[in-house]
Amino acid sequence: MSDRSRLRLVIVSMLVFSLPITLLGRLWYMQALAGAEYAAAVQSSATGEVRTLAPRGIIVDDVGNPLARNDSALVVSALSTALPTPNLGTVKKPKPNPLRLAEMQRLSAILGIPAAELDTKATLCDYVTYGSKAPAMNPGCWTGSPLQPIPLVTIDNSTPTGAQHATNVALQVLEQQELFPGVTAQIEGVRNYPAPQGASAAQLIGHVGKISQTDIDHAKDPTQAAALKTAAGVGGIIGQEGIEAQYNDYLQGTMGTRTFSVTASGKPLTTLSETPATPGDTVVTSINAKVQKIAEDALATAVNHARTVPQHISGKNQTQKADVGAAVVVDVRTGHIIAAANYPTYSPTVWDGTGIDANVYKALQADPGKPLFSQAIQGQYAPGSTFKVITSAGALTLGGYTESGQYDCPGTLTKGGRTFHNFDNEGAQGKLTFAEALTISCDTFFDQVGADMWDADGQLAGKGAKEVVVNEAKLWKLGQSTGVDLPIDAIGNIESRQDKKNYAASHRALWCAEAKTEPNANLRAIYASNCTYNIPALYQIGEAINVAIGQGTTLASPLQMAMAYAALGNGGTLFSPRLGAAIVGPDGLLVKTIDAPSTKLQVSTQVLHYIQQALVGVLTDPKGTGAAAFTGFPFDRYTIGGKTGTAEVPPKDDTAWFSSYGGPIGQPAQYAVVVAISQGGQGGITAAPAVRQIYDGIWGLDGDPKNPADQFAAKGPAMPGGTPPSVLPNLTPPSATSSSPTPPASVPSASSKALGPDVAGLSPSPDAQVVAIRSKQRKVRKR
Amino acid sequence: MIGDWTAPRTRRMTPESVGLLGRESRLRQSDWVLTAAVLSLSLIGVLLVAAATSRTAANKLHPYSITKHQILFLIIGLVLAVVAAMADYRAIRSSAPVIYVLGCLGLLATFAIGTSVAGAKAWISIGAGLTIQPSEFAKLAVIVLVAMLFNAAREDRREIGDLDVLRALLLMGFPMLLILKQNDLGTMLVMVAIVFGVLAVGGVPTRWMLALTGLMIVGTVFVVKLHMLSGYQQGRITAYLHPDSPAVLKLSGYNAHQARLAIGSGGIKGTGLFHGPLINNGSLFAAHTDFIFATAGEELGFIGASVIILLLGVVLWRGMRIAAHAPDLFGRVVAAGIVCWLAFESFENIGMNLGIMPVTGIPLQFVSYGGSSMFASMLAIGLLQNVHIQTKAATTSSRL
Repeated sequence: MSDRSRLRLVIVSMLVFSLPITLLGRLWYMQALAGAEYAAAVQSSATGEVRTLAPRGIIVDDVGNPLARNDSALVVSALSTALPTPNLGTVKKPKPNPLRLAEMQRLSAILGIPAAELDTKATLCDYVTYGSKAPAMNPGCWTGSPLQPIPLVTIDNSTPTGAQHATNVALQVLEQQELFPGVTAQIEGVRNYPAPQGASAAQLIGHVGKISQTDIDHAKDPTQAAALKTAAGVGGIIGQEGIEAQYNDYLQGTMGTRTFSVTASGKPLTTLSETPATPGDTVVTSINAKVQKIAEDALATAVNHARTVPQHISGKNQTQKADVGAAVVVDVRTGHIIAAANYPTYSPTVWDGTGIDANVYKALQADPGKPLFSQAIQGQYAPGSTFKVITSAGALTLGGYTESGQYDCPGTLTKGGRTFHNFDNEGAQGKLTFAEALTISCDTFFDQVGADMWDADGQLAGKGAKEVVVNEAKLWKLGQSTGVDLPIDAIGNIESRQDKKNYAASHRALWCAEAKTEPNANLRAIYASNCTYNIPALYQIGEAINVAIGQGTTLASPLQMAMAYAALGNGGTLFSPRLGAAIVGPDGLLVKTIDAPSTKLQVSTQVLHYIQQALVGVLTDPKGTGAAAFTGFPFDRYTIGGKTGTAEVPPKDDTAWFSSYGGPIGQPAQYAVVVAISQGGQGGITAAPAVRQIYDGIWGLDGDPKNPADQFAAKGPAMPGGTPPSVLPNLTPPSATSSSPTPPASVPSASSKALGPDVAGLSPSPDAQVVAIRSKQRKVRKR
Repeated sequence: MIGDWTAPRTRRMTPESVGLLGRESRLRQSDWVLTAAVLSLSLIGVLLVAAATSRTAANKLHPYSITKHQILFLIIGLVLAVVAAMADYRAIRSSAPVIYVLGCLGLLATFAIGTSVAGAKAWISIGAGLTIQPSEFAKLAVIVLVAMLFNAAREDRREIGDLDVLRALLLMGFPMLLILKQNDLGTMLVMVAIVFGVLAVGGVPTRWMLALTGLMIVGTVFVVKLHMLSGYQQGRITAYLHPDSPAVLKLSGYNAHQARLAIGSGGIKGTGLFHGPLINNGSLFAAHTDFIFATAGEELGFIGASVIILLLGVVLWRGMRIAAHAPDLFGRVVAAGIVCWLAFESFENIGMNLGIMPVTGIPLQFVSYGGSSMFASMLAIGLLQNVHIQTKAATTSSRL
């Protein structure tokens, strides 16, 4: 043996033995020194999480009728890791799995959905393989967690045929799991808008939809954005309009989390821990479904009347277009909205489920009456003569006018080169007090008041102008947001001298540009005229006169006028209106009551009382503009103060208004009722009968014998005692029909259990969750 | 019985000593420490294969079918070891070229009729769901051939020259090229270790050793820089650990991570055989083959896993001892080559389980489930014993 070979053997031996020694050292480190850390890491890493959606809280009216609830539906879903793998080949050379294709064919036969569509839906967007290109490579693939059951189809089982189909599917899928590995069927809650009493209220309730990227982008903070993203990943929904959107934080509940160990291939094993989802809170609204229905009917009747019965306006006898309208009922004592009707409207049931049919939505959007738009909340109209109460309050408080003072009501009035007529060219009425002028709604009287105050304000120069009417209107929160608890609101328009100048200054460049480019000749002329505005010369006497009678640029929403009249009726408390009355937790316990914030008007009781008297005269005085509509009304039992409005808004037909408040005689007023109908003609003819019909419904009275819709004595009062319920409606938790999702690990068995041994459990139980069971009741409102 | 095979060699023996384990039989002369260590490793292997396969859902119907296979492989392996130990030393030496050619043909066959497993096309299906891996046998063939070449030079009473080294490198290079073509990185690395071992012990000029060492270092850097190691790992990642961050997983290597978790969480005592949660719930792929050491780590803890390393150390120690005492250069190079092979392969396998070596698809000899590895390793042990017996015979005859 050479020495070289022997030496080499020693070197090789040393190298060889260094290897097991290295391994032993590493092993000692891992198991003895760092063992505890690894053991802890095992707990956290070999686990998966499934987020379970919380059953959404329900929305009820003041007596517990569900306005929005959760219907049960059968959801067929697939667990991607438990299905046969889609590709047996490689990424480049895919080879479809025949087992999977066969399963999809079987599923397709049961569900009536093409197998290819099901296959795509149940396939993960494989980010590991495809990176960010994944959804593009597999359009329609599942972007959520691979551990989350993927919903394939939702079968509504609220109809007999639907229930039959759902039962059939559930039986086949669950009882033949060997044919449908990885597929399960279970009952889940889907949103449903039952429209109690046949009332629509669609614009108030709103609707839910799938959580969109926009929703995530508009989250109020990163925590909420993250929660929305998670919920979106498991098919979560969010309120997108109305109360559903406004109270979404309460309604959505808290998602549950199920943590379980997973295998290397991502198959869930045992559940390690589970935090069940907390169902959303119930939102109790102040809406009364009966009154809502009465208001909707009254509005529709009034619109129909205006369209069919000719009215004598401007020397012509003609029917009105009456395109859109609104009716609002608020409780003057609390500032809560009892009803807000829309014309035209639609059934909220179109929003059932997680969305609306595309064609139905298109039709709603195309409807010229814009039924998706809330005329009551968002609609803005010239308030016309209903605004005269504001003018009166201002004039009597700050304008130097007196309650007993008499002022002229001529047939015509010429100011600033323009002649102002009384409505419908009525003749001169002589000298009148403010009360008399309100009762007969003398335009020239208020024209003169507006003109005089413009003079008193220093005419065009307007140095130190008091602008009594504008400031009074602002005091009543006109021209400002009402602060209603909805994502929508209208501001209206009350224009001061400075507002007018500011507006012209900021728009003049635009007008001058439009004057050159506008194709429509009429508009072009208007723009050209606007372009030549001498801004210091704006706010001529005509503007002041228009403001005094609620016309010109003056705009208000029906809800704004209702709140103003409510303040008039309750003695000067101006509320920010509220639709929400209370939030009730899923355990049935009160979370909070919702009170409408209020401010006290700076108007003396004496002035308010004076105007109240005048408004009662509108209905009771034979010369009153609302008297005809209230012929035969039991004024011996109820007192109503109201004001007609017929706002001239050329080129359109007049806007018909009737704004009012009322209550039992000798008692404080209960409700303010406002009806406004665009192009409805005269307020006294079109709007006032609708208002009467609503009061009759609330109090259970028979109205005009010629109006079959206005007969309520037999039905009894919609609001017994004239008050909303003083206790919360009885509610069962919204989880009643929403079984929580089953654990993926034991998909088949657990869902069979959820379904019950008898699949008849699939039959719908629509009112299950609002059945009044609880005996314990709590006072909500104290008054 | 097998006893017949020994008949020509027992001519000088007394009748009572005739038989496989007779007092004077060749097997009696074998290294019993080596035999005991290999048998212990193999039996631990059978237990671990059972632990890794019997409790997983995938194997519900026949929980011990894989274990039974392994026992069969072990028995066949032992028979092969005995055959290799008993074979005529000179006959093995002279048939080295034949063994080499057979090894290369086996490798070539994988290109014609091979099947692909986990990214490497290194297997030939032999029916009944079983496959053999010719590269396992090619390692042996290479060792035996180079040992014969160097031995021949020495018998010509000359030093190993440049020409001998070049010839050896060429002959070893051919099967290595084929293995590289199979995309079997693990076996390739083992081959490099073998080449290094046989050249060193064979006594090639020191400049060659320095040059080869330098080449290996450059090659390693090259491979690591080009991330040629990662492709293999990716094929094994089929699950998400954290659904929200697939990128993290993609980079770290899911299975290697799981293996480290299994070993680390085993601690000193382990969870007990058959009671490892990660193994039993299938969180680890290849827990009975390439990652069987992780099974040992979780279920047997440091106590059990270190016994495996120590037993392997015993095998290496006995192998080196055999090399040191070999009767000729052929025996020494064969023994040293086998030791280098076993040492590096076990280091690579356990190292990847422990997270200090890249993940490549090579098994742990004697322990991992699999026929090819068992057969080739047992043949190697048989050869070591053969050299050992030859040494003893030489000392005995010189004493006589």
